[in-house]
Amino acid sequence: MDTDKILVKQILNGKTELFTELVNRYYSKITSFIIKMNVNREDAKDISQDIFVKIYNNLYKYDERWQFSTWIFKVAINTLRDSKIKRFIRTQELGDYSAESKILSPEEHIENLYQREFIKKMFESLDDDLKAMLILKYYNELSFKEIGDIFKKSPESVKMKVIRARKKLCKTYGKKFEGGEFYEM
Amino acid sequence: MKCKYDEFFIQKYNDGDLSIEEKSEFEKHLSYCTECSNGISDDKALLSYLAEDKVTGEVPVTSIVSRIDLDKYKVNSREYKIKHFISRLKPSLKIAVPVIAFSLIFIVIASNPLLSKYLVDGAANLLNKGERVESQFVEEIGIEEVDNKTVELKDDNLVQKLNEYGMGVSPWEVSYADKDKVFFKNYASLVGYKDGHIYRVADLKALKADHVQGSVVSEFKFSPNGSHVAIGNFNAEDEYKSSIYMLNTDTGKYFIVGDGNYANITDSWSFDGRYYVFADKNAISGIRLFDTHMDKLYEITNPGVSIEKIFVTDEGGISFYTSGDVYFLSAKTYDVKKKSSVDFEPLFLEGKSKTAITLKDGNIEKHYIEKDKIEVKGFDLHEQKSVSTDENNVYIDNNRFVVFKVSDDIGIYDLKENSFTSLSPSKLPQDGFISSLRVSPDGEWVFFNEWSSINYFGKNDKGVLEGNYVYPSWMSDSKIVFINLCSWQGLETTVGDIMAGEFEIVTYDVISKEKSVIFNSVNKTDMQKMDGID
Repeated sequence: MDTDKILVKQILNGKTELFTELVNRYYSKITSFIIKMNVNREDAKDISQDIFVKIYNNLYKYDERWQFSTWIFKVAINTLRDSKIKRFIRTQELGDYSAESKILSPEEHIENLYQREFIKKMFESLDDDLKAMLILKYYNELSFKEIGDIFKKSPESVKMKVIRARKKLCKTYGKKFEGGEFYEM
Repeated sequence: MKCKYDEFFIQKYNDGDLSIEEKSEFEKHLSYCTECSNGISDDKALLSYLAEDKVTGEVPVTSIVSRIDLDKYKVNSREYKIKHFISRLKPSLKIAVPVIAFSLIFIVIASNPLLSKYLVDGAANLLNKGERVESQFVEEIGIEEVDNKTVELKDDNLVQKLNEYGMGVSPWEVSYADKDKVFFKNYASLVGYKDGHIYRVADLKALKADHVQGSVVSEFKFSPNGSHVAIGNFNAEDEYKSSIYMLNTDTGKYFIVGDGNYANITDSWSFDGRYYVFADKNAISGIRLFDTHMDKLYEITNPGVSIEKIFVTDEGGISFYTSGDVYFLSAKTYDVKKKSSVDFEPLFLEGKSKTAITLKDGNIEKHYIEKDKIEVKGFDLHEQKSVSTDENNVYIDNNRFVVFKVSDDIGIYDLKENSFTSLSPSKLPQDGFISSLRVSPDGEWVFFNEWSSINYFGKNDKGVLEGNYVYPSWMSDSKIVFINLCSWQGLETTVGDIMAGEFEIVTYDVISKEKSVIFNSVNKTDMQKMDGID
């Protein structure tokens, strides 16, 4: 049994303080997932907290035949959908990113920033389910089977959707930047 | 992409899914192919965007914990364990519940022959739509439904119209009744009573079916369930012809299903009222079959004989008698399945079991045509040689009961249920003919009607209902229904004085001896209000 499942069992047996361990394991993954779904950072943190409260209150409904990660992302996707319906969620602002590791020249930085914004815009144009599938695969590193379980689709069908979306995004991106259009903008 | 490698291959390369050989070969290719190199960069840029972390810093554990009840699974641990167990059962229940529900439905259907027959028929209708035309012996005939909107004339408006038309030469006659509905007619109108209301089923003048007496008489052949009625005219002259109508008694809409003289036509309904079959006795003409469920008319090839009596099963199988021979046609293809010579004239043919019912030498006999076996039923007269049964004094009532008189007994053979009842009458119709005996739906009672009384008798009881009650009918196993004209004072009443629209529908129970007015066209009675009919 994986450690997530052991933790859940212990919590249900009364060791509720161990829930903090689950929060520590998944908070960043869930919050990042929500931000990547084009939700403003502050709103994402609120939604993420809602998700963990929901996870705790419904922990007894968790079916051990599923991976815990699959279940938690399923809850996250449903909560995000509900939140989008129920309240106004602010989208990300331009330049809202934090991953920069190497030192760049001012020109490189501007070019890099512009390319990122273009990828972000392309990505945002996808429908929510496809966006979620790509994030779950390449950020959260879930298998096609786990993603299929979340969306009630076969692993093959998810794989096909993801590969096609990736191809389409690359093609659009390539046209923009290798076709010289970038420098004309 | 012009080179042999496409975007999917590039994705595999970036995902590390290529074999060593493939990878090595592709990397050689990359040294000169700018397109693939760019493709790899583009894909990597996308993956890098997707993979980058968005959240760093402290996890708000305290904030989350403050919003949850940490005692929840401590205090109620047992309760949530049970809930946890039940929630795990859910997927199994999703399968088990429909299986159990389906099994229960199946048991209910299987234990209810009527319901299962209804469902099987319904399914057969869907599956066999138009199947009857798949043979050279049967052809569908296009017919058009006519809607004269006669049923729109109802209640008070109908009363007014009936008064305008007048009564004609004969009072109301109940043509069909069951516990839910009554149909009665005079020369001009066929009227229906249902759910506390009356409506005009048919304008008989418009259908030219308004002949009550004289050289032409209109005949009404109601289906056993009362849903349809075949209407035609009877004339002693062979050449006479008129339309034969098939009318839906609920909607008043009708089809013309043929033409002919009812004097020359043999016909019958299936027991369940789905099929009506008829054929001209004289001409070597086709057999016609009307399916009331599908509203379709079929013409079936006559094998070249003069049909004297024709019958149809609930499945649409046809059988008929022609001088000395009985024929059984297949239910779907209508080719001759069985033909046998017989030394009797059957009263009835049952196509499914291929049996013939006949009265022979004073016995009701059941002949199994295929097995060449005879099962004798009914009165054996061999010890009463002095009494002979009058073969002309046998008739079939209501498409179902063979009624015959032997000695001092009335025999009733139920063709549908294959059961036999014997009644000892104290008094028979004055004319001596039993063809005026009407058998109750359960075959346990009969009545005959004279102008001033209704005489009824069963196995252990008898009675007379005095009054001017003409043309009654059975409404249920023990209830007789008749129409009481308010202005009718017996035979001495002048026709012109009768208000045809002013009548009561009255029932009389032969067991409880109770008489009730279930409908009054002029003033609603207390009885109706009590019954909640109106």
